[in-house]
Amino acid sequence: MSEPRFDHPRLIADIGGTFARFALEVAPHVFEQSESLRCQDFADFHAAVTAYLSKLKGVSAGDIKHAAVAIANPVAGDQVRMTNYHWQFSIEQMRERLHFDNLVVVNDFTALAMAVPSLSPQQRRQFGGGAAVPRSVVGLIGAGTGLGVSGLIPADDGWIALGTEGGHTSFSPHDEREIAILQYAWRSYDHVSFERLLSGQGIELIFSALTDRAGHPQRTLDAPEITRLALQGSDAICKETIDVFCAILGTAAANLAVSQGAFGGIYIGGGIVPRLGLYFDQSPFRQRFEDKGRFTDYMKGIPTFVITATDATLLGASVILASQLRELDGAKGSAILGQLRRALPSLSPAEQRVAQHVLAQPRSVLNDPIATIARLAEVSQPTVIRFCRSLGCEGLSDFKLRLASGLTGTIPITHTQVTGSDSMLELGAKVLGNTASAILQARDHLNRDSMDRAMRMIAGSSRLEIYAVGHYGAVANDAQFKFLRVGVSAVAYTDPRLQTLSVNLLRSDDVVLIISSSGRIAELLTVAETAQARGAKVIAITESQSPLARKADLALIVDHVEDIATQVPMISRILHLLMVDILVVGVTLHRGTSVPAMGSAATMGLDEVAPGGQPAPSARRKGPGVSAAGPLAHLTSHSR
Amino acid sequence: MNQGYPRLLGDIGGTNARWAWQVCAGAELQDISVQPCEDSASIQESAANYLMAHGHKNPRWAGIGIATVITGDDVRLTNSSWQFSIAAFQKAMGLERCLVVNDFTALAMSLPALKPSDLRALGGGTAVVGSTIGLLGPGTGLGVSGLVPDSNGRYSALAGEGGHVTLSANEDVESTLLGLLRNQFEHVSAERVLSGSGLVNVYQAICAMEGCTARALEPADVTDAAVAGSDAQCVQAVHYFTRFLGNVAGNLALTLGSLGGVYIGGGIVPRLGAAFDAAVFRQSFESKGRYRALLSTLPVWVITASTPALVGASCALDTLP
Repeated sequence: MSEPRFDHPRLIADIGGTFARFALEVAPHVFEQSESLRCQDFADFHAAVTAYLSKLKGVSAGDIKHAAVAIANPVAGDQVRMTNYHWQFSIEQMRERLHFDNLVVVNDFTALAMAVPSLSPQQRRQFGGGAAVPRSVVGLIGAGTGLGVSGLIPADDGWIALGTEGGHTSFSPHDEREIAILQYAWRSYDHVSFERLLSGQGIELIFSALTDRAGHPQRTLDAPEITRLALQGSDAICKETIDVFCAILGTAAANLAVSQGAFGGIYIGGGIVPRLGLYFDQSPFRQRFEDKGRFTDYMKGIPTFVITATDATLLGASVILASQLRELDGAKGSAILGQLRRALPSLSPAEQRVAQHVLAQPRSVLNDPIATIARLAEVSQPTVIRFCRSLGCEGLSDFKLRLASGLTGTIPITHTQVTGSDSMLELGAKVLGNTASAILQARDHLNRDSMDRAMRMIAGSSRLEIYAVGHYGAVANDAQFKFLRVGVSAVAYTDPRLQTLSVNLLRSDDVVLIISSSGRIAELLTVAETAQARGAKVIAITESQSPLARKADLALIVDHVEDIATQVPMISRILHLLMVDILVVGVTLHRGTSVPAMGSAATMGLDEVAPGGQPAPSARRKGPGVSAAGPLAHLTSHSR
Repeated sequence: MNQGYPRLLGDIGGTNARWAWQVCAGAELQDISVQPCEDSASIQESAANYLMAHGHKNPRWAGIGIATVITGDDVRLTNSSWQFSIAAFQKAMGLERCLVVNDFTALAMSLPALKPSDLRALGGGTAVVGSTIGLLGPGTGLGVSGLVPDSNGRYSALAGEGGHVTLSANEDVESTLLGLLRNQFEHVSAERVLSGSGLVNVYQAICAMEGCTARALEPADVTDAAVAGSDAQCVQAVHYFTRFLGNVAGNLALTLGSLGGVYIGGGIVPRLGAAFDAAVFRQSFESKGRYRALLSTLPVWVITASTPALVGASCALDTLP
């Protein structure tokens, strides 16, 4: 391989429900020391990664700067929760714990799709006729636990992977037998999608339908057993089942090919088809694929491939990681960090200290005044200015601006004033921009220790009372709803007289949550004192250094100066709501199983989702379902 | 982008050829003219007649959307006798550049340029800006396409033939109709019901199902009778046409992940006007089991603009290589 080795090897992982596969990418598409670990041997994802890293030869864990993880569940936002396994984690926290510069987490089917253009002829097997038109749309379909569908669209700078839910399109029967299967499936399901039939469970459903159609007594066979008997040729219904499965996969693949205009061919991945081996090539798949009446000639030109490479998902994850790193390098702010790294050797020793400080804590540098930066970097203030000029910036504020534009995507960390002359568009942008920067700052100042203590106090309480007045009544009511929803006995009072009455009934194992932006409301200070006198604990969400913060047993600090003279408080209310959200999530995790499950009788119908209509967040994600964490991608993982 | 003007723009269907003239970038199309294809022996004759009739000379570029698969220089129409070589047409017309694309690709290219007044919303839902968009249009045939944005927000159009997906049924009557159509066609694609002739197929199947004699009707007769409410089987045919359209549109939205919404073009739906029941469409569109919640958030629009494909042909000249 003539490709140069990476400066730092990259960790690539493929996490399924049963196995976690790891490998080290030492040069583009070159994997070494690959290993499969059983998920159930490890308490969580971190433990599995650490176990793999500790076994590595010739590489110490600190050498690895970038990692990509393909995972068998939808990826949207920072929180990853596996559908078929209990592991869950925050991408950003995992990145910090593992000391990586960048951690990309991507849906495994998206990763597989991105691997397709890089597959060598040895890593795929064409069957049937047709030839791919170069740089054309490529379709991908994979039957396994579910039915994954994606497509690759050629773009100027590479490929775009479609994030689709094509497995859930309505099944289209092709002949009498398939109509019978559809009608059999309708007994159990209102909507029979292709996935209902083209998956492990689907094989069992087809088997059951064909047994019924043949008038035989039902047998309980699982998909691997049906497959085995079919390949042996020893059981007629099993063989028919697999043949029908392959034919229906042919219909689905053909529908995909015509819908996307996939002249680049259809690639078949997933767990089931590779297990069929060469049997699949002889199956009715290709004949069905081409069987489109007047359109048969069109279909005959489209090639079909089985992906045979076992590490195709790892390959795709590494392709996505490489493209994310390129994107980060291209971003403006990270360009300045990249520039900084490159310029490091040429800087004076004093300027190097500033550079090291910026690289270590780019976010705090944004908010710190020059005196603080100088003190933390142990240099003089003029050195900080010289450092900025060495990087081609006019001064510190110019440097901060360039740094900020990359660190936060498109949201500058500034507070802009809304003025009367603003157009509606500018006004919207400013209000949202201000809120977004405030949330960013709150995130940076979040105190994990006090959050953790607050969660423990609430989780251990027998009753939670929430007090607030005025604008913050809405926050208190929201908190009551959320805590009740997760099984915490909570009540909100927003009327001072009710608060006074109720606080006198508190007991020593109760907790009071007081929400006040200023922390200077006399009535709230009084009820806080009464609560404590009765032995209850007081948690306050409020401003630092306020009387309420000093009085409370625990203060969760939200500092946001709002210009109350010209506008009603808005941003601090949102920050308070978010603080409540963090507490609720924390308490839920802390309490574990004692929480009523989603959709249980206690909570059914409380949310605005219509009863029975289940949300499908997996498909709401934009783009191919990639989430990344890096010091430079803090927020973009949510908006990407 | 102000190059290649004046432009000759064409939209060639199985029945009619539409031509228009555009003087400069951003200009409204002018002298839009519809000619029956059968009036001219070839596309070149049709174009020459148009230019002569409106006194235009020497277009520099031409962009043409055409109702067939474009795979190379040789273009054949599926539903008409016209056949031509793009290079020969370009030479004969003295064009600097001639771009021939599938008419549905051209329509797709026009979507970002459409105005709210060009659209009628079917139900609610909000598009996610910068997401994939689905497009289907029942007319002479069933065209299907999609627009996929790249990282710079520029769209590329899918050149598919999604009208030929195998038709699916969501309940028993649909399944019965499917069975009846299968007696007639070896492969029952979506186009077999979602097109002008498809509407007649559905009408005939309804008559067969109800045991009455089907009259010899043209597609326009079926839509007219349904709009007037004068024939029970025609009303039923439009009802099931609407349901199948909802079903196929829902499948397309899932296949493309089109959070940017679904647009419905083609001649039939706008022609039905108020007789096209948005509620029936939505019900069928959203009826995808666990994915109902997702589909209920997707917007669907009927394109009511009169010549979107001509606008799209001009957009295609600017966007495509």
